[in-house]
Amino acid sequence: MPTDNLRAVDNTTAAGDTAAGPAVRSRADVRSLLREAMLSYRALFTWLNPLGYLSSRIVRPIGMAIAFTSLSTHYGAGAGRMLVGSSLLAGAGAVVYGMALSIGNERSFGTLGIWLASPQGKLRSACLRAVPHVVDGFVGGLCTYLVCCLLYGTMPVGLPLFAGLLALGVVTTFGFGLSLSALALVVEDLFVGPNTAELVLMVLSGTLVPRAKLPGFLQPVSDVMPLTHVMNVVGDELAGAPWATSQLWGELLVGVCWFAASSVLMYAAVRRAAFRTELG
Amino acid sequence: MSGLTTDRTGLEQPRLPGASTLLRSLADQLRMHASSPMAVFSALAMPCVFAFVVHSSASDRNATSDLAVGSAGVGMLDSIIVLVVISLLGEKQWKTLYAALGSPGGLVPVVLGRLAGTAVQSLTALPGTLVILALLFGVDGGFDWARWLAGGVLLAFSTASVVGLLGFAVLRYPYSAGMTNGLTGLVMALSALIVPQSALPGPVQKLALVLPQSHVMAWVRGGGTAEVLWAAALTVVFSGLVVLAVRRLENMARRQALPLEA
Repeated sequence: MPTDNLRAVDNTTAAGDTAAGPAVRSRADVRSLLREAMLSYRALFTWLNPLGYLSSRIVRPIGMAIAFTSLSTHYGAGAGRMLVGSSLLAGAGAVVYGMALSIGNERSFGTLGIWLASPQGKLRSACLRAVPHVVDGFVGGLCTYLVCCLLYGTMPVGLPLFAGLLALGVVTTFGFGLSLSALALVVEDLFVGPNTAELVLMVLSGTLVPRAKLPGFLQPVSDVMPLTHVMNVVGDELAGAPWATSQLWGELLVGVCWFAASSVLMYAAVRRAAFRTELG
Repeated sequence: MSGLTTDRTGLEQPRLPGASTLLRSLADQLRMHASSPMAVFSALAMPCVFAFVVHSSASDRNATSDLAVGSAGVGMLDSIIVLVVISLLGEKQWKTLYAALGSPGGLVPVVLGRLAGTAVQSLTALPGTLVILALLFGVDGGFDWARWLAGGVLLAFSTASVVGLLGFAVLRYPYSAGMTNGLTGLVMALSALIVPQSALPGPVQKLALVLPQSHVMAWVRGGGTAEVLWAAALTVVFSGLVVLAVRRLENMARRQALPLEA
């Protein structure tokens, strides 16, 4: 049975190559990549059950956003900046936790050794596994924003702009999250990495604490964190000032730099793990 | 007083059948989880970050008693949720609940002992966060030490009584990964820990009245004795609900052979 299936796939591919050429093959490749991403999501994202998903990806960020937005309105700063920041943070948080779980759970399920031994690029595999979480983060962030806008009766930033900024934010957080995937290969406690990363993002990403209010030595660190440049755009928009496109390029650059650094980290973590006899 | 009494069969029985089990359960909780890295992380790191966010919103503030108690409350909430889940899931995995079910006091003293243990353990957040807040922002001249201490202790026990209902859910139903994550955000918003209840959006304000923590925080922020009485009464009500829920669980385990190990 498995042999027949393999033969059928081979025939289809061969037919596709001759009939329609590389276009069909590339479509098949994309389908195969998406299937791999979805399979890893279903197998390794342990919060993928109705209660776990609702609780972790919907209720938690909304509760946090209510607490922080109320804090801002209480001290007279208005709901706008904190509402947008909390919603962006909700999206980033989903990416951070998802990417850490997508590698860390290989250890939890005892399959880390098999994954490391499999003949596939580990960086490519980690990136593919991030795809559903990036989409998930976008949905979660958007949901948090809409619910909080209803609760506070205001929409500080237009929906298309917010959606665009959120999309950029979750993509740049993907670069940062890749470092947590690598860390999950080194640190045995699965939640230490993402919990710490979430707290770091809360303080340093400009979402909850404006960059100008950070101590001087932390301000340059904030500049290299995901979401900081996105929040600069939000700040300008809320102030009614025209925002610079360079901020968006800056945010993208931060994401690319994090991706490059995380790739090196992933390479080193995979090499370290491959040489260890016990993966625990 | 020997602490023992004689029943109809002439055998000596403890005067309070569940008291010793409750104390044993409390001691077990502290012995097994007091140094858990995750609990320490929840009790200290998270509240300090929240305090930093609060401080940045009101930049002229030193560490006042309500900031200190509210920040500690975030840590208490997070650590109590984590600890209740870990400890009660442990009881299920080790199948120790069957032994408890057969003991004179049943499951109630075990669960209450665990909850009391988590409340005591979460108290580390109170001095722990204050030290860090004092180092970061300095202590305010008008810091009310009595309200900080009494409010903090009451907050720990009221939080444990509310989270006790989660304990019932963990014991009664199969555990779904991630199911408790939302509670931190939800209860934190409803407890008015970092802002007064009046600052919450309308529908959330009304819900906050149901939780004892919001009354504790109202008292810490300068409210009258009525707030403490409300907080104490609601804590007793929530504890009563936990006892009733666990009693119901006992009945189900005995009459319907509900497994206490899944």
